[in-house]
Amino acid sequence: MNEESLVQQAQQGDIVAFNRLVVQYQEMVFNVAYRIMGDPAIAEDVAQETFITAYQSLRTFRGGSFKSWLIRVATNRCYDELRRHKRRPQTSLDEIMDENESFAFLRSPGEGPEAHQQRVELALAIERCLKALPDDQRIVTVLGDVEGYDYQEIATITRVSLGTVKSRISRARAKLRDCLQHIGGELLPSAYRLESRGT
Amino acid sequence: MFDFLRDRGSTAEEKRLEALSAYLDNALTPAERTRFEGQLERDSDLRAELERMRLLKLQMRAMPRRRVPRSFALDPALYGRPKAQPMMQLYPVLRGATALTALVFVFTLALGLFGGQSAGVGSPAPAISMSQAVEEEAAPAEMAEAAGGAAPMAAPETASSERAQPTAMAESPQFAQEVLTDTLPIESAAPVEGTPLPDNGAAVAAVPETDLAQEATVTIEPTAAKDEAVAETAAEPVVSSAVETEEEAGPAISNTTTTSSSILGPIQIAAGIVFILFLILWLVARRRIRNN
Repeated sequence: MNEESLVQQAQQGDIVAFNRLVVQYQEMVFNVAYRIMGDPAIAEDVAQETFITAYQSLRTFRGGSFKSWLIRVATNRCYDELRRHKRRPQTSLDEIMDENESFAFLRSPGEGPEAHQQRVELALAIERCLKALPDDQRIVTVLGDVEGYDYQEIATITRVSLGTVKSRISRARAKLRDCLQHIGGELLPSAYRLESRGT
Repeated sequence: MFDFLRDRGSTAEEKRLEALSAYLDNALTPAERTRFEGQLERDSDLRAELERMRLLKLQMRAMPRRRVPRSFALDPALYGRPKAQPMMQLYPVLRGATALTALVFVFTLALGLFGGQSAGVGSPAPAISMSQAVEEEAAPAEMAEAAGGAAPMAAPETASSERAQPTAMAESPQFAQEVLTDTLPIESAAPVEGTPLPDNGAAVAAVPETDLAQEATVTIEPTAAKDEAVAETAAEPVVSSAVETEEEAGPAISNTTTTSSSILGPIQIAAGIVFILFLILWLVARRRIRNN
């Protein structure tokens, strides 16, 4: 059964059809929420609220990309949560390392322990730098660079102009670059270091 | 919308980075792209920056995705049916109701405006209609004068006496019988004048029919003179009752205009209030739907 008919059935109150959509998109929604919120527990709550809100507001879905619509709902929930908390989790890199035992799943079959460790360190460094970004810049960066949406889609999801999206992404990248260069100089293995400007 | 303001506030370095990011994301127009590639050929620092950004983008894209800690599927027992959202269901109704009340409001306003104009034109109508009525009453009398006979005078007089019937009939059954027989010579009008006045009960002397005709003719001309003349005649109650009847009709017309305008005012206010209420509800519903 294709997505369109699942959406139509869900719009008519078919919870089973909606849950099939949930299974299809829950990882994406949870990861977007996690990158934006920076906390797995909050991301879990946001993801659950996103699906509840989506189901209750499904009548307002007027066609088009269901995935983009769902991401918009998730982003709105993230904005609400950020406004509610008005504080970001101040978690140190060590704490992230400790609580992210799940990074074990990153291990590739042919990858040695050292390579795996380097990948984990890079991922944690990016997460840390992402958390340091202002909310607006972090959201467009997660949608653009992590999830791969184009500028127009991001503008639609976040309800800002195309020019604002361009500006936010460019500023966010500049900050991320500076942040990773700083961390990389101290922590990251040379293979993952972003070389300093002019070198 | 205000991108030009943002552009004005950007530094040259920010604009350069923005163009670089847009180039990386393939979001430049062909002209911008050509121009930027020209800059890339000339500027080695820009090329190095582009490579750093490209690597950063790759690293971001390659970030590991976390597994979901649990299933987010909704419990059918709790969410078997989508929760009714009255605002969303009511949205089309509110939109229609707002439009309808706006229409009614404008219509009542227009009605009040044109009604006010027509009331202004129609206000002298009672006076006109009264004088016309007097003239109409007098017309047969003029004809009678022209004919030189008093007989036609009996017709309006009889008509007037019919209006005075209820009181007159009470004291003069004979008169009632004469009226009913519908054979009304001039002589038969005499008992009408001879009947006692209903208001004060004072007896009025009978007036000869020729005098009556003459006096009735006099009443046609100036109003004041008419009134005096009518006051002197025995037919006074008859004529005055006719005038009074017309006077009653006059205020009746103006009362209708006043009543319609007094009804229209509250309707306009009510329509305005209802329109504002619907407008607010509609805007609230639209806001909620857009937020979802």
